[in-house]
Amino acid sequence: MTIDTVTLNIIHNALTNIASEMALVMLKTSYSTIFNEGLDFTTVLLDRNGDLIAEKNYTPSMMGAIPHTVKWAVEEKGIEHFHPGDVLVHNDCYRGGCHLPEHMMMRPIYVGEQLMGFAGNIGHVAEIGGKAPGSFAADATDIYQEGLRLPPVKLINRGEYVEDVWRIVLANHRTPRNTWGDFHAMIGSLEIAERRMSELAQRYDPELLSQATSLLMDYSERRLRAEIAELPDGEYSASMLVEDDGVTADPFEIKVTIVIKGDEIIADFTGTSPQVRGPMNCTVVVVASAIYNAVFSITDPHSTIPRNSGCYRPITFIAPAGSVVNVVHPGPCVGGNTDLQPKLIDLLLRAFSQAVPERSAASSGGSSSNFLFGGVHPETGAYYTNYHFDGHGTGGTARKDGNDGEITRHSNCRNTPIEVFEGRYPFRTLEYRLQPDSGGPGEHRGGLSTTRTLEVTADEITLSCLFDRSKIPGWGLFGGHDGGLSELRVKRHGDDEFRSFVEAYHTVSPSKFTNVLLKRGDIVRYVTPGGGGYGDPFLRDPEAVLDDVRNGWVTCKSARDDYGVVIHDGGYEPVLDLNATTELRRTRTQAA
Amino acid sequence: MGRWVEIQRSWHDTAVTNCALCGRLVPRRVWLVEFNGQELPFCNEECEGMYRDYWLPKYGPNAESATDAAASDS
Repeated sequence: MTIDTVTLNIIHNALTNIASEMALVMLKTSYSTIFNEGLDFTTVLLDRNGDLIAEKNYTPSMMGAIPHTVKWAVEEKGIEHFHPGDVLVHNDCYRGGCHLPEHMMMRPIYVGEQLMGFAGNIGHVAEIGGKAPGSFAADATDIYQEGLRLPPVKLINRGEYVEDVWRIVLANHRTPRNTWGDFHAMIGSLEIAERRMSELAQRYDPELLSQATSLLMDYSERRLRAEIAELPDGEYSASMLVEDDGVTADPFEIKVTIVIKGDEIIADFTGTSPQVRGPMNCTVVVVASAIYNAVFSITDPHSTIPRNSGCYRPITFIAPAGSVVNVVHPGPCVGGNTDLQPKLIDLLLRAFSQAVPERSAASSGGSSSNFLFGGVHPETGAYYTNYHFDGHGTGGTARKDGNDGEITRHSNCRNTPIEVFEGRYPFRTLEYRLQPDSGGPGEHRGGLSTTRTLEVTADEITLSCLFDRSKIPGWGLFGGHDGGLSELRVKRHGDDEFRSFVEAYHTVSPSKFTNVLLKRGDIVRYVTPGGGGYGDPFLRDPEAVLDDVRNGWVTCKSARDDYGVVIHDGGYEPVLDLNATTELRRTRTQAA
Repeated sequence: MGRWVEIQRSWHDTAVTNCALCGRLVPRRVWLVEFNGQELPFCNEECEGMYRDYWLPKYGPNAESATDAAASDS
């Protein structure tokens, strides 16, 4: 059977559109803001071998899980385990999960008696039990403190609820109504996939579809191999320290060597620190996500290569089990996905910068700035929890400044509008803005971080935070400066100044703590980390610095001190002094 | 020379197997190969090959860097 290019394109677009419609169902029918506002989920279609054939990837952080998790579940359970109408769920970190909150659901798709493939999705379920409301225990020392762990089990068996499993899940999540709604949003997206795939199979012979997806995978593999072959062969190494694990104040080290040989890449993390006590470990699919993200950023930044299992074939990796980049039982890992993964991408890009400096980027803020809270809502009397994240700055590149307030380097999520946030939760937003001078100075400036100030409007709120880069900033590249640090502070009701949580609550880490009790009138202010700059800031166009000052993104002091650009505060309109700038840059360069 | 082995676990056994090279989960069929009297689990022959051709020469007991360190110590 031969397939012409036009038909191949039509089938590719049809599959991609099915994955997109699956995503739309999740967005429109979910209960939690992390789905319907944050878009923290991904939908996929797989062939009968469990190989990825199409995706709607809102969240690149799940990129590594996509080609592995469903396939591993099918292999472990055995194909004979599946029947029409089944839905299987799992969030087991040691079996292909990203971290416990992220649940994978899958459904076999049959046409008549014949297994055609699988539909799957991965979504961050906002509350799954464990020691902290919002299920982000920044001081967890094992997986059991992080929430309910589900190995691959059926939620739906031949179209019928498996009530015993549902009862266990709902009894262990703090907000079971949300779980019920979000789980059904995920199930609904699988059902729409099955319906659309059946329609597609009526239009095209299933064997032709199978052949087409195989050709598409081969095509993606060829395209990526061609891109990799353009990169200079060699070994490129980089390392970094991460400031703490939430349990001890000790830093730990990540090492990577990238080997480019012909049309293949190896990412080798041998030599990385053993897994740590706290939840900053990541799972093997998370490190895979970081690697795929970095490689695609370098080779295919505009996503022109169809994302399917074919484009993962030229990339291999070594993530030693039991290290901080591949946690084993019973190690905790909730922060590894959100706060180690972006730093792994940054580190990989730093290694790649030795090979292709023009395609790399300085470090991002490297943190999802996880802000979790819960309690009894004063208006409804109902128990609520929320998982909230905020944007950091991304690193400058050879072509442009970093992005401001992006959530995040790896997750590509949306922020929650203040109106929605305040409508649902007992906080009043006093301030939400970009943080001036938080982008690392450079020829291309690092992206700005964000500041948010919140006042508690309930009698009590239990707060947990998992931030990072409060001690070790994101790095600049090729003469660019480091990005701004993160900061978390609290002004307790009746107090006259903001204090760190170490001062106010005696937490071990200033950026990672669990179950702090806030009272009505307390005010929390946080600043997320900024991105590093790229290139010498003295090479930045003075007019661009003037624009930054006009916008309130860079202060006149930073313009002078970091960029050598003299800007006078001309009342309403800052004024660039070009002669003074030329002179200042000349003298500073000579002095250096 | 390696051999394919079906991992036999009862449903109440919660252990998992990871590849000795790449660290990925090996859910059901494992490629077992003996190195220095120890049987190592791999995803497949490709991981074994990479262990033999890349990892051991770079990090193993006879690695170039280990030889260099020994030479400089003496």
